[in-house]
Amino acid sequence: MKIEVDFDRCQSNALCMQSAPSVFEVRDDGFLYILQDAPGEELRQSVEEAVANCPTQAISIQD
Amino acid sequence: MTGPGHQSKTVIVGASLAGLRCAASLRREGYEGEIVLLGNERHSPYQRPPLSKAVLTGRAPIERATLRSQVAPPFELRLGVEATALAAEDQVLTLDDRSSISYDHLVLTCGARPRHLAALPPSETVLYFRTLDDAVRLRTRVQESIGRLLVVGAGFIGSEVASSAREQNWQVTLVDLDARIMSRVLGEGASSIVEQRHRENGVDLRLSCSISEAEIDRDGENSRVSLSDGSTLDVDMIVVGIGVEANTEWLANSSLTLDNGVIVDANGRAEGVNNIYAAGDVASWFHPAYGRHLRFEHFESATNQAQKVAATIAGTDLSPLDELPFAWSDQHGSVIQFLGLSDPSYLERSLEFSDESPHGQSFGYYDDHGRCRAAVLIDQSAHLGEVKTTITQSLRSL
Ligand SMILES: Cc1cc2nc3c(=O)[nH]c(=O)nc-3n(C[C@H](O)[C@H](O)[C@H](O)COP(=O)(O)OP(=O)(O)OC[C@H]3O[C@@H](n4cnc5c(N)ncnc54)[C@H](O)[C@@H]3O)c2cc1C
Ligand code: SF4
Repeated sequence: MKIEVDFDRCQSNALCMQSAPSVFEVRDDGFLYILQDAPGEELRQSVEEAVANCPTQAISIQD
Repeated sequence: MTGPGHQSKTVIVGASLAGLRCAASLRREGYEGEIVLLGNERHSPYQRPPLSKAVLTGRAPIERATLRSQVAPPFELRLGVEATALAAEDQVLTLDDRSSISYDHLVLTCGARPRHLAALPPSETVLYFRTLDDAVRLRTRVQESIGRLLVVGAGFIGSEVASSAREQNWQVTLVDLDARIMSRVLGEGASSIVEQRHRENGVDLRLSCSISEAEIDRDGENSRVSLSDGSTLDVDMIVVGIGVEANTEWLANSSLTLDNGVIVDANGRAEGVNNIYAAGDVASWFHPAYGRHLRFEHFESATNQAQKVAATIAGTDLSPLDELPFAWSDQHGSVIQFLGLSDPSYLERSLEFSDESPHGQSFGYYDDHGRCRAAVLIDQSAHLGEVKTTITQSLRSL
């Protein structure tokens, strides 16, 4: 699974981090960091939850 | 103008969200010509949503607002320069340094600015909040000491500034003329939740209230404001958020059609003029589903419209933009999302979701045919997708 984040849409409110903390991290500098941009299939459900939860629809799954 | 050997040139006026987004999207759509992005602010293009939120509370550094899109050359970013006149028949813009610039395509992304109240001219004490400089000024003020803030207008900006100042322990009074908060987009149920959030978090919310008299101490500290409810407030700072108006004055003598913004079609093309487009807060965009021109003042539409204009110029996608209006706001730790176009005549109904969502509450707004036309989600962003589908379907059936 390949993840893409549109950083100019991202508002760093860390909702994705609650769904998939091993993939998304909002650090103290206020920016979102992608910890792994091609996580394994076992994370699909939590990443899909993060996609749905993102208030600005900044995250997409490429495959 | 386009002859053999002539490289196409696109000039974009307004170097903010829509402007940068358009430039970056032009390249993504395969446009190879020259792109000039010019703007009258001195900062690199930045986005505004964090200004009233994390930047103001200090949770994020100022750099957080900077936009990150990159534009491949040939690209020129010209900051601190203002377009002052347009001669559409010659395809030339005049700039405030008396120079001029010609174009093959012109994109207007010059946005909007706060509407002013005659009784409250801008000063050290009275701030019309819009720019990064405004945010830095207020942030510095709010963080150096605790004080008393009066916020005039309980819309998006006013509510967020009130929330952020409370987070910094400022004493905050929020006044609005309306009897209900955001009554143009929210029904009674949603308004009362948003009002309650303000009150629970210590905001002194005064509805059906206006300013009857203001004695402003220009250097701050001792300003006194009388309100229509008969009370008097001593305040250190006043922030006004009573709406914005499109930056179109400089286009008054051009051949463009202006009516609450630059009138453009569903692809962003200006009416009756070749090769001029508009996107974002300055654009009054024809919306096919609603059958009329609408000027949105939100992040999502600025992004979508800018991308659409890029595709129109590149010739890669000539389908009309048919977006569902969307906006969000962060207040007192809540995420509020708005979908569709609401109308006070719609019936408000609480939305129930199949799974138990313990937090938050959502409402749908139904027309007299029972179609869900708009919705507000309070701390229920996980359901955004399904609500979007419902409203999109009801728009298709109009
Ligand atoms: C504090 C704040 C918080 C916000 N929060 C949210 C939010 O949470 N969610 C949401 O959906 N929306 C939010 N918005 C709205 C969103 O920021 C705007 O919709 C967006 O900025 C519009 O982008 P734009 O590029 O069209 O216009 P603008 O951002 O207004 O940019 C226009 C630019 O053009 C420049 N310009 C104007 N005239 C000229 C000229 N003649 N020559 C050169 N340059 C010129 C201006 O100075 C400005 O830099 C917020 C807005 C503010 C102010
Ligand atoms: S939920 Fe969306 S906006 Fe929030 S931090 Fe994650 S990607 Fe960014």
